[in-house]
Amino acid sequence: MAVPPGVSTRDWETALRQFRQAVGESWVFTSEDDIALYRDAYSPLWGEPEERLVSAAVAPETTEQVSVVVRTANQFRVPVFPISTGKNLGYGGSAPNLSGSVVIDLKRMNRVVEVDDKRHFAIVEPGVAYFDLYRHIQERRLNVWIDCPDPGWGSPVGNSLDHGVGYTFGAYRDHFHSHCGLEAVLPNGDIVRTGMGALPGAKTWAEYRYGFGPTVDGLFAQGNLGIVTKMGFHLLPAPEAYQTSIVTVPRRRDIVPLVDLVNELEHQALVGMPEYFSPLGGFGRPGPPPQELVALMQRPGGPTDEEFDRYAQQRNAGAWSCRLQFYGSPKVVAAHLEHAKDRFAAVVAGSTFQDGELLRFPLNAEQLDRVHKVAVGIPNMSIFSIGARTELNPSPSDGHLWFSPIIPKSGEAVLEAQRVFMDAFAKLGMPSMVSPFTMPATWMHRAFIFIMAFPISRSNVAQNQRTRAVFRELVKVAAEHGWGEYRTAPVFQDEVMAAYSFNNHSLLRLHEAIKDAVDPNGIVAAGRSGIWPRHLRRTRA
Amino acid sequence: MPSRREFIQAGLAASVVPVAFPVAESARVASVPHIAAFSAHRLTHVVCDVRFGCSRAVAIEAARLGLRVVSIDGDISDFWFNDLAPVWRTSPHAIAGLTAHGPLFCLERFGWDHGVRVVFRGEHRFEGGRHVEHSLSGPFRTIAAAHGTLVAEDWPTHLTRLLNSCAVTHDTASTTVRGAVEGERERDSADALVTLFSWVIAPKHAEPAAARRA
Amino acid sequence: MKLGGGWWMVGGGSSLASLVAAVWVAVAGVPAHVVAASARQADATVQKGNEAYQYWCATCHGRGPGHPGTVALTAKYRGALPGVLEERTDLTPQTVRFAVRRGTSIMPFFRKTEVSDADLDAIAQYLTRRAAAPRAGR
Repeated sequence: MAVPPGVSTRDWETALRQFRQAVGESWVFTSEDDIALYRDAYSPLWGEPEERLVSAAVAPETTEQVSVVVRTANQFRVPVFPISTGKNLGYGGSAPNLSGSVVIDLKRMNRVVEVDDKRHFAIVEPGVAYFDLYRHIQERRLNVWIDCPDPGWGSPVGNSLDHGVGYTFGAYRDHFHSHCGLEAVLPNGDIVRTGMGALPGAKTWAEYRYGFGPTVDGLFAQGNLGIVTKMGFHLLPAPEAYQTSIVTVPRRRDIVPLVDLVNELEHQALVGMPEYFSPLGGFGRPGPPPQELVALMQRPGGPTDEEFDRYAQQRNAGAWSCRLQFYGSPKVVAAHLEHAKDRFAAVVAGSTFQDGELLRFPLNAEQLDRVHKVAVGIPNMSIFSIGARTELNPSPSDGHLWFSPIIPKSGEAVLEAQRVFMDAFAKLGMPSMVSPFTMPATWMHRAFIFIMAFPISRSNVAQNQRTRAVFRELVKVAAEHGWGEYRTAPVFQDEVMAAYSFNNHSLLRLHEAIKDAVDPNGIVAAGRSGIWPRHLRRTRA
Repeated sequence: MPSRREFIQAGLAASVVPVAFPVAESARVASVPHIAAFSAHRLTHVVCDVRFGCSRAVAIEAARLGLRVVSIDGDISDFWFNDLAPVWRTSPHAIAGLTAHGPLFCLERFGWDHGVRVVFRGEHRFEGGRHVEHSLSGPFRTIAAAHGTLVAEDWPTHLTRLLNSCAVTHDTASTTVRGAVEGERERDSADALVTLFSWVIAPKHAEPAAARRA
Repeated sequence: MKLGGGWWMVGGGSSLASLVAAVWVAVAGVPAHVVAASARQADATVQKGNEAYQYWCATCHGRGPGHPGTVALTAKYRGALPGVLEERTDLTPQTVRFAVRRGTSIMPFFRKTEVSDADLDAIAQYLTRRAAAPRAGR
């Protein structure tokens, strides 16, 4: 039987007994088969000694049970690690930072507490999946949308607490930002409610974020000060209609005014999530890149802007495109689209628009099959088609790992990131994951994520070791250019936090001071975001 | 289309090409032999001597790896009689540590009777308070992995990871690496006279940890 | 817990269970009412398995576009076997349990707080309801 680190066998047996009393025998998992289910299915350390493994898992059903479990853990100094739906694949999955921790599996806490479609909010427990909340809303015909990430099996609570992101409109895509109020169990077992939740009888818990006094909510996101057991979210009132239009600009340097103009439209709440791509990029299409492109790319120093432009002209294609998404009544959509066209006509000569069809909700089955479901708030699993076996991908990897640096929302920043990372891959002696046509992800409302995916193997240790070495190198390269990751798997969290080093790592020192005060025994999620309890902290020079 | 589709497919394209490791300047590494499956000794205890700063650093890293840490003050007796002897009598498992010579000597002798042997040994000789010379011998894979990782002041952290991933093989190699010493060590003049020893003691015919987890 | 997403009635299951029940009675001399009860129980388990399948599995393994599990299996089998799991007649309870608890390729494994052992048994029953050879009892 596995025993958590730092806990005597006798204390562990007592703690287990108390866990079983608190949640019921069948919801404490200690057998080898059961705890194997808490491995990170996409672990970059699969099968290696440093793979993060758990000693046990406990699955409470209520906040009160969580409190008893945490109190027990604190008494015996048992390290714990909370998960919600445990589907953080690519960023660590259900595995802890500290091997031997006890996972507190909150999947059974799956109540949708409240959804209001006049004031547009929801309050949910951690085990509620996007699928569940969506179904709840559909069954009651409520007039609100959710904003969900690609796979719908994740948790609004868990996703937002890892600063996760989605696809619909404005700040709703920034899931932590659109939360409003939370309830958490502190390391000493105390239950706290933030914002208006701290005022008994208040009906505004999921409406007004700040309550009174300093807001502490942010400390629980990517943090380890407690276990969140309820969370409020602001929801988008369901729009009447949706339309896309793809704007294309002709020249390579047009990326600068393209991004500037789209920023203006987006920050004025006139468009939803912009989707940038290059007509010259060719990703997703079968076959090798065109010969002329290969020849261009092999020129010493890379192609000039003029050479790119000539190449684009020869193919009768533009240099860059952006799919703009419009939401609202048909009149509003038409007006916003017309305004967008006016702005581009005034600023970027030769820009063209290709309008999509105006879709009115509810969509029929044929429209549903065609539309990008997450853009209209419908959770699904179609994203897994990408990594899964297909005709074009006969040997799929076992999973992937995300590298996600934040860069500024400008065309210049995108071009710089392309150059820097292409150089980095060249120095590492491997084919580049970045091309001169790579565009960042735009899920985060006010920043670009220059995201890359590394394949993971559950059988090829050497490949994973190489991947980890490359990943660590890229973290350094990014930091040298002022780009930090917004999210990463536990195995890299120390390095990523180390990049946020202003004033001798003063931010980390502040986190540690708060950690020592609120969790002196250091039992909750030790090591999350590089924040270690005192007894596990390395001495710094 | 700028979606996760693009990003993952770009990554997939790069998945089967060998990568050159970034190599520290002070050491050259022979290419690590490609081994499809990984087997390492599973450590039940990591022994650290609290008198020495670098041993305390090993304790912290071991704890962060989820390993059970035993802190001694130079004397191995309590650990041996109360914890280790009962376990080794029935099912010997691997242990590791960074200690002075005495504890290693005792454990090696005790272990002989229980079918366990020193499978990795490192001598860490401190020179004049600024540098440390590491002489290592053990499984080829582990020795090869040591290159480049013990040259900086955080060598105890990397050493801990090496001990944790000490390979279960019969091939052996040795090497000597020269590195820097951490600031704390400089001030601790008593330490400067002591050579410390890192070690892994494991059953002669150990069950590879990876096979159990597969 | 209400489950949505469209689930269809397992019409064929009851007649198979009745056939099994008849064979069992003929061979083992078990009273008919006992056999009928266990046939109903088998039906109920398959029903429950269908519901659990629609909730946990159909989002990837359902029919039609946008179902990555079906796309993957279609590419894997290239016509030798159906890509839609519900249309398979060759699955065994062991293979279903193995896939759910071990995962395969980018399909991760599922915990017992997601798919309980009872749910998994029911899903296995559901997916093997059309096994090629009828099985006497369980």
